Amino acid sequence: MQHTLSMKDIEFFTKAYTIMDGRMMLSEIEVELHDDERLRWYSSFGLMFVTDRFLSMRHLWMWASVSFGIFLCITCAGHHRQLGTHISRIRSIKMDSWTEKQLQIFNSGGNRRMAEFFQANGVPASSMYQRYSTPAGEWRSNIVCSTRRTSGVTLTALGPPGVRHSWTMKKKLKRKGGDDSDGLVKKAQKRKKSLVEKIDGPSEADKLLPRTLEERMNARRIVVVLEKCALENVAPRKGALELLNSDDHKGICLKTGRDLADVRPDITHQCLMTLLDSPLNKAGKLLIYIHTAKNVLIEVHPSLRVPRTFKRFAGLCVELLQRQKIRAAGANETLMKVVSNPVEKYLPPGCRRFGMSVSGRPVKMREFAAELDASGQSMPVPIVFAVGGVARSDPVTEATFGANYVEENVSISPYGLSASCVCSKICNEFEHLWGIC
Amino acid sequence: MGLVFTKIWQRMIGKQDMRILMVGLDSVGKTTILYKLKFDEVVTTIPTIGFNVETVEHKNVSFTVWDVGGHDKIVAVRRQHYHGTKGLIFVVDSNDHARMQKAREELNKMLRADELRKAVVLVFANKQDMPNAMTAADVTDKLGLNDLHHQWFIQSACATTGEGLHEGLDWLSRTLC
Repeated sequence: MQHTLSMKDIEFFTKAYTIMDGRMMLSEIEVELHDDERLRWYSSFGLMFVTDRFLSMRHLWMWASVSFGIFLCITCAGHHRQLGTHISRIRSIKMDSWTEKQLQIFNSGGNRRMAEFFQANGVPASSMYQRYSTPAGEWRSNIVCSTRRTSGVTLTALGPPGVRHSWTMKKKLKRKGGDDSDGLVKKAQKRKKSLVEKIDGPSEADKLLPRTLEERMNARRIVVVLEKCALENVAPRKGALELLNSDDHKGICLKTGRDLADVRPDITHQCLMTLLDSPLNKAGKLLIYIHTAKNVLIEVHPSLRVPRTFKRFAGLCVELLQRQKIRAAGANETLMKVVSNPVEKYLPPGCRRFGMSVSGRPVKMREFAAELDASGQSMPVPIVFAVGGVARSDPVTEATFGANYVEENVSISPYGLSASCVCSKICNEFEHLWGIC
Repeated sequence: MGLVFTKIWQRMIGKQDMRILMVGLDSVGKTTILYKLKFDEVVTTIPTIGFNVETVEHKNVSFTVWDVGGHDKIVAVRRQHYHGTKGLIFVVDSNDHARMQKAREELNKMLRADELRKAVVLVFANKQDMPNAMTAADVTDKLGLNDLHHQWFIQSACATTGEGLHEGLDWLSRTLC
């Protein structure tokens, strides 16, 4: 089977490369290929071309990402592997064995289709991580769904996941108890919140909360990133683990030469109380990330109720930092969890990012919020505010914290405000603007 | 008597050589671990076709680490690396719940080889920085390490930060010397 390579093909392939992996170049590997069947298989995706002597085999994509249904050269495969297997799983076409299911992904995938999808959804050629986390996640679920479709089950018959659950559960209950289904439902309600959710679907308040990362990023929301929060575990005695704070651990701070002003987890506590208790959060319009001074990134679920006293908050943080996540009692929900850095990968491309700093451009918060809202009407992406959760200094201008992603620093008051006050100002203005309270 | 002295002297001053084989499924981070140990740098690796070999100095032991690619076809020719191997480093991706069973089969298959009968096994539960990573205890359970007849040790690790790697080598040098 001989394909001749036209100029148009070269154009297409180089284009596909630039769209997908920015700085990638075509791979330089020289491979001999004698396997006719394999060749036919490649060409059925419109990808493969066996060429004249000059371009012999240089453009061969011998690697594939099973998660995305695309073919890659060895260099790109290396970069994809760095994303982790939960994002992109790489297999070699020649050296790995393939399952039927993995092959099916390619029926609905393909480089050309993915490039088109990326182009249509305005995916910028920024960092690879951003490109492959949110928008590509959508693409992935698309191709997985269509694989299901080809295997005989239509998508419409399945319906949205929540509805499907309630339908099957009720049916099961009916079959079991006949007329007594109400009794069973009540029993289940007593047992566990998660089971209730399966039967009746989520409650009205819960429906407002975004579930997946894509859902979170596809609406007008406020994201607050608390930068440089002082959350750190310390073992004052053997067997004891406490949250390092300036009141209880003066001795430790003195010994290790740390400034007491840098050890203030209570600021984080105050901020979380302000943010999570605000009507903006109750309406599901607020997302919170905590970035600690030790470079741990924590995602906070909107339905978390912060402990009112500092002692109990400290206990919660100790457990969080130790176990990496806090689960809700009784319900199948993670209230706080440690997620991998950097925070940029949770912010969608195209969103506005501002740092709150007293040295920034002076603005009037009310007008600023209105202006931001008006300018972003066409594209529903969140607005990000970075707030320093510290007693002094300005983390949003520091390279390892805010300065990485913030596009502009703004100052909403000539006075240096406390972090919790800034949070409440942000919440207030957007509640007012969006008519929440 | 002289021989005894020489041996003691060598143990205290001289460097011992140790041949280590590093294996595991594909894209679990073997090459990244190797170069993190060697140069203390995180490199963007490409899939290993064949093997990489580096000597890594750790305390007074010089490890010759053979990092063998994990792709299915390469695994078949891995046997030629077994000869003279005293220690085996088995790397697993703690974040990859789906392939734990495959990793277990792979490990068991390998340890059945006659050349590796006396080898000690160090398991790196790699990629601990990932949000859904399993703990070392979970990995022990999933890999069925408790059923092994070999001497083994599990160490949670993160190749990109270097966490746990030297602790693992510590164990290897203690057990093999």
